[in-house]
Amino acid sequence: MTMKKKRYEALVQVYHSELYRFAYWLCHDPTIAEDLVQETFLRAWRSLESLQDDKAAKPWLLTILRRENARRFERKQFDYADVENDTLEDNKSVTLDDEMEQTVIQRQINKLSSEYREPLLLQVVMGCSGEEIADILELNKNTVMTRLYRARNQLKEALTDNHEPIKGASN
Amino acid sequence: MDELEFRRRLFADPNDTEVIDHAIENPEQQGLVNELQDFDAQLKSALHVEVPTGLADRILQQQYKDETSTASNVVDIAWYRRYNAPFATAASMVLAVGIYFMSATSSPLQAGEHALEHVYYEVNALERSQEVALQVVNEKLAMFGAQFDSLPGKVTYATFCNFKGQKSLHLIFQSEHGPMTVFIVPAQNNDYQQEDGHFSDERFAGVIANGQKADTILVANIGTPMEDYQTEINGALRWL
Repeated sequence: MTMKKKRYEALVQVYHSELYRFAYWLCHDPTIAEDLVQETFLRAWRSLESLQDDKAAKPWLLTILRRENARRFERKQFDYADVENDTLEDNKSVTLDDEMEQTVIQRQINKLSSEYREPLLLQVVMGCSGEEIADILELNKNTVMTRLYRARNQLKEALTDNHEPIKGASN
Repeated sequence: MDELEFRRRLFADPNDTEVIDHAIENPEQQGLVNELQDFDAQLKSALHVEVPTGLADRILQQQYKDETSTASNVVDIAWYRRYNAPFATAASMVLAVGIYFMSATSSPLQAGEHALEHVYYEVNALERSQEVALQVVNEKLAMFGAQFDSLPGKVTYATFCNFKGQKSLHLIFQSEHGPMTVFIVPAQNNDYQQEDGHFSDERFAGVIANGQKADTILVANIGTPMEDYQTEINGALRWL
């Protein structure tokens, strides 16, 4: 096996799960998410030479994935994800209470405006640092940190409002 | 770090080590750090979705397919495997030398004849069944500044070829009448004789259309309604 193939396979093994989850929360559709990840890696393979340092692989792959996702809208092949009609992922093997709580959290995350949601997804799902997020979204780091702060702040507020009745119902 | 900055930084990143260290002496701040870290754990678990099984394998598989459809040396190996006999390679080499000779010598070979030669030269490619995505075709076609909206059948072969000294796109798709070969030859510098019309031999029939930006040459089994396909293909080919 060539060096290029080895390097590529390592990238696929390390990043495909995280990228799939990130893609899923961008498009809310498992099939489209898989397509996005496939397309991302295909493009990554074709321009693997341009990735100089494997430490930069994550932001590099995310940049490709976001571009692919943007193309999807340009082509208008798919419908926009609609917050009201979102398919919310069933997480099996959790109790009903947990499931409801997770659904409530998912719904609130979806309600965040995308400028807040995307940095949060990059941080929580992808484990990106502030610098990496700034790099991927082409923003300065202070802006990213402010958006992350607001995202958590809004979520916490929304969830404390929402939280009580659910807990109340289970009592 | 004042209280406001502490809060802002903690909310922006609950795992910021500077912020965590800062909170060590202050039980109230320590409590908030724990709360935010728990909150993040909740978010993470709410955002956890199962990754489809076999995704990594499918990604690697796709990369392999991409490689076989674009790299010509890998295609050669595929021929070996398909026929289990070296004569296919020998035959290709004889033909390659033959075609080289024909293109190198300045005999005025007609485009139709050349198209037929080319199809025979890569006749094995007609048997391929693995689909090449339209997008892959369009990525190649983009080099000529064109794109296909659709093709009347599953594309099974797409590669750049030398068509009488001109870089051209060689496509094969599966029509209702069997495999059909399409050559798209950009119009500049064509050294073959310009001619519209039909050509055929005992097995294949073909048709040439001179376009403004490129000539489109179709080759398929005799008896295929070539005009219908020609209209459809030229209609779907868009110049950007």
